[in-house]
Amino acid sequence: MEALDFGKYNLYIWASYGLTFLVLAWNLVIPWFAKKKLIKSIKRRNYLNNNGSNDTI
Amino acid sequence: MFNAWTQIFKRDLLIAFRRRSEIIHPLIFFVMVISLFPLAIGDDKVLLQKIAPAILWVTALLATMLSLDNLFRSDFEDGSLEQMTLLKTPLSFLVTAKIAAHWFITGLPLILITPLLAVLLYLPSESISMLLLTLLLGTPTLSLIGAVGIALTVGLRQGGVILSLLILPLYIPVLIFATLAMQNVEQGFSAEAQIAMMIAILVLAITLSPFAIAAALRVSLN
Amino acid sequence: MNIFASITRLYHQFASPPYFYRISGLWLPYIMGLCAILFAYGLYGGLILAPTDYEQGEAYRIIFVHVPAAWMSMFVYMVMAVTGAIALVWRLKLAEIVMISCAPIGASFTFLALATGSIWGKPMWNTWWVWDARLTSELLLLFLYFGVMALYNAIEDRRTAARAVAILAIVGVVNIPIIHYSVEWWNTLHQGPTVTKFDKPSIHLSMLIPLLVMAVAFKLFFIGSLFMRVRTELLAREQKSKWVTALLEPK
Repeated sequence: MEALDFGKYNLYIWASYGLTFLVLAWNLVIPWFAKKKLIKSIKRRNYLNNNGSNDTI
Repeated sequence: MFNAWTQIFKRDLLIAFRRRSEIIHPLIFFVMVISLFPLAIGDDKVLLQKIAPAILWVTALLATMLSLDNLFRSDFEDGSLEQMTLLKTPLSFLVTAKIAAHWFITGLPLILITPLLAVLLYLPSESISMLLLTLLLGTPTLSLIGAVGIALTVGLRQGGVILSLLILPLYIPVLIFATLAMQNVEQGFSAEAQIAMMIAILVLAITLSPFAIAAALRVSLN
Repeated sequence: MNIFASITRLYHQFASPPYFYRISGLWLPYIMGLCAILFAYGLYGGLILAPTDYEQGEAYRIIFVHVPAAWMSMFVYMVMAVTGAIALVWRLKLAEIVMISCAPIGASFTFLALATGSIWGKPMWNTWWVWDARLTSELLLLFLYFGVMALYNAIEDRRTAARAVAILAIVGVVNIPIIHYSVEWWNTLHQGPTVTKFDKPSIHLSMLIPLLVMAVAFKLFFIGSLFMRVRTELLAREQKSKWVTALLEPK
């Protein structure tokens, strides 16, 4: 892939694009896992309210 | 309406004169921190002369920030701030009275003591007059912008730390223009453009910040 | 009268949490899909198709991520300030959620702009950093984002916190024109405006097109990421309501 070889600037270009990828991934991963965690806790709460505990959480 | 303004202005001045520590402490802070620099650097006249405008301005900025706490705190805690929001006179107008009084007791003494400290830092006399001009334009701006920050954080427990985080970014343009003006004067150029910008920022602050301050106080009093 | 009634109905509908949740959920896959396509095309156009720059050699290709990131850092702040104003005036919970969800996204784009700018600066100007007007005001923008997030987390009641943060965000808007015009007002190291001038942009078309494509891709990404955060926050705040319980019922 010689079209992607940028000579002495290789490190800088790939560092920039890599950093971009990381920032974008962070902006996807954090909300994704936050939602999963939230849904899990809501479901658990609803289950306990309906079936298990004597108090309403 | 103006009656309320002058009453609040005079009341704040009176309270400050009775609790003279409110006036003295920021001044002492200012003097002591400035003295730290020659002590740390050694008696290097050339270097001190070069950094004098910068450290005088940064320390003035920090001293103003420290003094902001007593702008609204005591009124907030004893309920008079809440009473002020209930008056017919708009709160945004009344807060300017408090800020004007605050500037009189912190900004003005700061400006008056600066020539003395400038001499300690070997600042030449032409630069001192420009320094005083930038402080004259800058310290009211700092009080106004800082009042927005303290209005937002007066009800918080760790308000002091967050205050600096909030208003230092807003202080930076004032600092940059002031020190640019001083650098220009030192190199023999005119500082007209920077002074014009400082006047513009001051006017913008006077006209817009009272509304932000009033809104922020209402949020804090919630 | 009919038009006003339907606009008011649309406005109330739009601000209702279950409606927004449903509509944003429908749009999200298409937004992200289009975003991915545009990213792919932008990367291809920028890294492979675009010719080598006469002055800067290959290093200029960082422009295709640096400039969109910088544009987004300012755009997201404006969205945050405008939704903050809406939240302040109309007390809309959805506006409050959108506003505070913008902050981490905007901060990350500002960080990216600063970091890629720094990486680009090393081969070009032989320095990782310089205190010129544009870099300084962009750094200031990052501090403003931090201030917004810090203030929001410091106030316990979320609605009060949102109102306080809205005021702060609006006050900080003065920084945006400073960033944009700083390269015109101060003659400094950073490049002058080449795209958003009012006459023809002085950049070659083969470089301009990937740049604009990447800019749109970044915008779509922002909307998608924003939707993700807002949806989660809506679920969190309304978890005891019927529509959430119905949504999460095991089928």
